Amino acid sequence: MQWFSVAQSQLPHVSWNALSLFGTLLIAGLIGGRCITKISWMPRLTGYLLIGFALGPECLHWVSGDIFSIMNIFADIAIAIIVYQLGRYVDVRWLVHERWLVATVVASSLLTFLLIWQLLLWTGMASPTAMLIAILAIGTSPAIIVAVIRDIKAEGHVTRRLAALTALNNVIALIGAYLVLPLASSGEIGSINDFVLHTTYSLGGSFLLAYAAYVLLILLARWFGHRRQQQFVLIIAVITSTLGIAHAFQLPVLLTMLTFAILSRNLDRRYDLMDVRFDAISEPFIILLFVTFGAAMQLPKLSFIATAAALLVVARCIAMAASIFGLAKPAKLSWKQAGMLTLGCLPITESSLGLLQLSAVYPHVTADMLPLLSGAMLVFEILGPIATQFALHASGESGHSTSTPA
Amino acid sequence: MQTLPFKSSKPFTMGVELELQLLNRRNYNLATDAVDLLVGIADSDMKEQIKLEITQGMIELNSSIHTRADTLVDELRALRDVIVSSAKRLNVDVSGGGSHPFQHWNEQRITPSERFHYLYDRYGYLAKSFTVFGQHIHIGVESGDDAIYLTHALARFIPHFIGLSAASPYYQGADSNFDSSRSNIVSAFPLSGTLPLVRSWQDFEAYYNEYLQLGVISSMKDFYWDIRPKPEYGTVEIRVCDTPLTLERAALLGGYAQLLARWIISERPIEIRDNHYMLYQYNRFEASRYGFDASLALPADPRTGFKGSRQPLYLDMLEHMQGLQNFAENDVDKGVLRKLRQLAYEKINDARWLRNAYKQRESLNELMRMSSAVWMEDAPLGNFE
Repeated sequence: MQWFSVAQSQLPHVSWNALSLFGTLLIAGLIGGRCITKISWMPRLTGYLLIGFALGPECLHWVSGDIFSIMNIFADIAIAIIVYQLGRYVDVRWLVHERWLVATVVASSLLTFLLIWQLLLWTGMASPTAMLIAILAIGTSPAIIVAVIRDIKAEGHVTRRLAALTALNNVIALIGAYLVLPLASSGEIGSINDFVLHTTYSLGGSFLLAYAAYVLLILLARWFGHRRQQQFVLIIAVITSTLGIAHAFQLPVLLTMLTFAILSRNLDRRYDLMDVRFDAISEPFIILLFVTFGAAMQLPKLSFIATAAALLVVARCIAMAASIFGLAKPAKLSWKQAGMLTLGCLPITESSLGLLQLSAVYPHVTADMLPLLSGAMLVFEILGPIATQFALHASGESGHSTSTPA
Repeated sequence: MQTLPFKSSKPFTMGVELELQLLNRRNYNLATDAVDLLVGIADSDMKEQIKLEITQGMIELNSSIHTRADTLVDELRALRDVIVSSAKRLNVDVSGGGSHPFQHWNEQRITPSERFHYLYDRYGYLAKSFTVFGQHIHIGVESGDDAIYLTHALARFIPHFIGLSAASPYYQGADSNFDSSRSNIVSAFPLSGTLPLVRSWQDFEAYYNEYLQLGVISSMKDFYWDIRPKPEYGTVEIRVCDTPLTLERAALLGGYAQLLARWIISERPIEIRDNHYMLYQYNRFEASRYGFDASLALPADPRTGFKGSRQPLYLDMLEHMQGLQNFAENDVDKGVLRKLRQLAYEKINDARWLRNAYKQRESLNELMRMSSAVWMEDAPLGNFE
């Protein structure tokens, strides 16, 4: 066996690089997705999540440390593309005509916040931290909603409401989080002036960057004309560069991308921007995103915060159901549609989207919150895609639920 | 005893049905909101006049009975307001036009109803590809025999209706090179085509009963003919028109059918001979393909000594419209004829508008946004015409 030792000593040290990781995790995700869909009612996303979980620190420990850092780059791109698609469901003209949708967003956000805040206080959590968790719990998961809509080709009234509701409650959650942080941080970043400066910088900078990206996009789109392939590349280019700039300036990425998408949907009066399909390009990124989410799921911590996490999950469901059912009649939604909308809203925004960025500035605050949110996330990430997919199928809006000739 | 009684109606009254496109405002592809749109108008007095169609991106609007084109267009506008108000709540736009330019037939969803599911089971992909949008014009007649004669005689003018209404140049993402690609979709059905050459209502009843007994049909609805008698309404129904982009154009087509019927029933100018339909399919193709520039093949007529010839469609229209002046009963009828003559003379149809608009904007999505603005807001057709 001497020859083997010699050969081994002469081989270069082999480690994962971005390309090998990208390909390998894609294959793993695909296999997971394929296996899980053997059960007809299970969404592929759940397969990606479970494969990620199996490869992550909680099981095989194959995905951790540096590998996570590389995966996060891909996940960021996926999130940016997803959020762009989600934001384009927000049509201001629609909201003017359908004020009950706005009322539902406001009511569900307010009720979710108040209910979770009070329940967490009841469990003995400090008020500012409870308040921040309650605000972050307002947001429905853009990744799960867009991925499921795309996966089952959903189209219709419930689908549009679900997407718009998700985009708007994320905007409320993110703006709310930046406004409430001074209470939760309690001196972590110094004086009130420092806080005002930081919040103004984050929110104002986010809006300015989104607006600048919109202007750049629209000017170039006008110049290129309605040429689908060129506009497609242009949109990808503006999305990725905006993402990079937001990271470089530590601006809230999710809020920036959502604002950018909403502006591009509503300010484009001459309709210079084409609606491009991201199906082919976004598929690998979505697989990696959910593998990453799966790998980030943490089981043991759940045992410490099981009660609080369960309360959060139940409270959020009750708040969403109360608002949606309460306003269903004036919104002319049937009870079935209201039920499916409530079920579709189940998945909570992934904590990594909002919190990882906040953690750089407010490490203590986010450290307090992460265990609980991770616990709730575990429930929502496992059940969320299943619930959303079921809701859209049952509402008859899935492209796969059409009748087949006998 | 009559097995298929024909309900007499006031001659030359008219009504129209318009099949409309529902579009999602995100990318202007066909929406799937027909059922929800009807829920939104449940409180309206006009709810009975708005109906579901075979797939969920379609909705049908039915006028009541009219004697003049101006009252017809007023009612169509009122119906439009009802539909638009519900559509806005759903974030859906509504458009005319004979076909959606980039929808894919396999993405269409069958509307939940026993009849529509039966049609899908029976006809397979044909049922979904029937997601095309037509205008049907009903003309009132006194008797079944008049209905049979009028149905045969109007066949001579089917190219006129196709040429004037053509509004489906784009189909499945490409220019079809037809002014009306929609008319080809209907032809794929086994019971499409024309009324058989029966000469009386009694003969037609015998024909109908034979089909019924063989189980080929279960009602008159199963005949997808270009023109068919509608005994339960007491009308003759012209079914070849694309839904125009504007309500005014829809009312003009109704007015044209009314004037033609008045002339045909009053003067019986067309002899129904054994070779009546000899050139029907050819002329129908010409009009669908070339619109006003179609070259009609007109067969010889021994009764008048006419030896047969080719004639551009727009000239044939102008000649007949000139003759119809004598049958205009009021200023509205005269106005209808004046506007129709202008359309024929300048060769203006919606297919031309759609092609010009696409040339300027280079986007089929944008084309549908513009045509929905034309239908919903009476936006001017502008210089695309």
